[in-house]
Amino acid sequence: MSLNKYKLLLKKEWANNRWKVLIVSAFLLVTATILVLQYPMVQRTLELGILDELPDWMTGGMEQQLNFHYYLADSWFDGSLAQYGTLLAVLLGMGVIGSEFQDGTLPFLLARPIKRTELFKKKLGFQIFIMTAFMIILTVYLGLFASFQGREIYLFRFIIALIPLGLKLLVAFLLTVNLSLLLKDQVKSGIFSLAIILAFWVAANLTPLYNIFYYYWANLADYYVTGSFPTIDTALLIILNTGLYGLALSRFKKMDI
Amino acid sequence: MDLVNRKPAVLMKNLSKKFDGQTVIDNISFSQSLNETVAILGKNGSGKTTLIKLLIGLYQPTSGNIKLFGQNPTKHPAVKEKISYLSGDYNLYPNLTVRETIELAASLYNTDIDPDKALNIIRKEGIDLDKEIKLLSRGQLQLVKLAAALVNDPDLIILDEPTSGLDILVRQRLLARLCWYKDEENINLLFTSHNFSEISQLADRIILLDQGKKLADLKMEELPNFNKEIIFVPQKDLKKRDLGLDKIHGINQITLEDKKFIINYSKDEANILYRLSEIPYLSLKIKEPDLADIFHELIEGGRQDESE
Repeated sequence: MSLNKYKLLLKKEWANNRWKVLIVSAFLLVTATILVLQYPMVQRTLELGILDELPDWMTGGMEQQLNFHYYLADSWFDGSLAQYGTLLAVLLGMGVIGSEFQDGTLPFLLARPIKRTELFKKKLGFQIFIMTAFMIILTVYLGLFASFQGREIYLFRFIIALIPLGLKLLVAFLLTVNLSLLLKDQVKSGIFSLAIILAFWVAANLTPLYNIFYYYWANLADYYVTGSFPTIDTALLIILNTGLYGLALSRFKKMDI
Repeated sequence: MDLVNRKPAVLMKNLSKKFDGQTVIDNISFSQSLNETVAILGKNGSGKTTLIKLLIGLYQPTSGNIKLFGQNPTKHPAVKEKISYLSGDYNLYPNLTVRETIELAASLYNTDIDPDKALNIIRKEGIDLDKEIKLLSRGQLQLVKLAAALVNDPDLIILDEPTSGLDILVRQRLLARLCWYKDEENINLLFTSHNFSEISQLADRIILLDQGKKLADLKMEELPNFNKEIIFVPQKDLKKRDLGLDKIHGINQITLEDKKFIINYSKDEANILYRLSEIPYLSLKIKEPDLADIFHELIEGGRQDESE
């Protein structure tokens, strides 16, 4: 089936989501710029020996930030992009099917000769394409800006790190899609999704079950500095996403609309 | 389409639907042949909308089979190339314009569809094609939905309470359009309503539904004539003869009570309303025969006939 058939539908999807993408992107552009510009200040602060005066639980891993590569990857892949990206993933996940339920527009599409599976794949595929483009464009901007500031960048690792990160964002996205299919309400699905992610974060930080939270799988700062790709964690993320996708698709195929 | 020429438009066999263990559609079977318009009549909550959603594939049946032109619409959505659905129940995308809505509808078919015919229907109704859907009145919205439903030149249109919430004149215009498509373009209609007047204007056959069960399946000729009333209040003081209804045969009686005309009739509703719409008026209401009376007449009356 040609993409032309869905051209207008995807145009509508973009019109519905562009503000979410543009606002989160604007925040990240500012963040990326500040990350690079503020590094000399971070470096000076760390060199002052301030860390020695703080308790260990506050300073874990901070001495590694003296290495610019570690600082950049930790702040970007494990920090800002992962956090803002999760927010965007939840915002996009809320709207993909949830907004159609809430607006009562799905019958307009499904009363026509479209397979549910096909519609689901196209809608999700388009949102995943938006998220991928969002990650790549902003990361390329960060790399270029850092280069212009005279910083060295490991270009290949910089791009490859986006694969596990994209899979982490996909978990948040697919979790929200599943919840929107269950609750048939986009706002509730967004709130519940963030609540679940937050609950895992709390559990991971307050209990010995650090690895219970998918967000902490595949440490990308380590990968970026050492070049050792987190294959097992990436595989686990793929399995988790496959499960969430399968669950959402099978629910969408069978549900009464 | 070859299939369209050979198979019944709708074939439903032992269809049941349960929600949370509660039966909403209970073992319903019926078929609709080509060039036939079938109405499903029932009170609110009788299962009409559920039945339509099952037919179009929006709901999955708990048991039983549905075939449209010989194919299961859930397994073979391609059969919907020549089927359309119109309901007061679903919405159009509020931020799209009328033109974009029709173009979107046309783009969702596998065959190349020219949206111009549907756009012309809307133009003729005086609706601005560049107006956003959220700015349309309910009546205009329903006409856009109708145009979107006709975009694929359907052989069967499935309508769920198509005139729900519309004022009398818009409702009458919509019904007149549907009558035209039925008669001139040989489109099969299957529609639900709890409004007997709509049914008497459009249907060849009527299926009575109550609490998810099929109570009766009757041809329109088998129905008795139910008397209805129009309550009409003109802007100026008029006499009975000023209404110009003398030559319309379906009228039983016209009474005038303090500037208010009560027109009792059993047929020719479209002609009566057309004539009255030409007179400036303060109020125009149709008093439908009570559904309970119709059910009583058709079901209880039928049972008595059988026992006789």
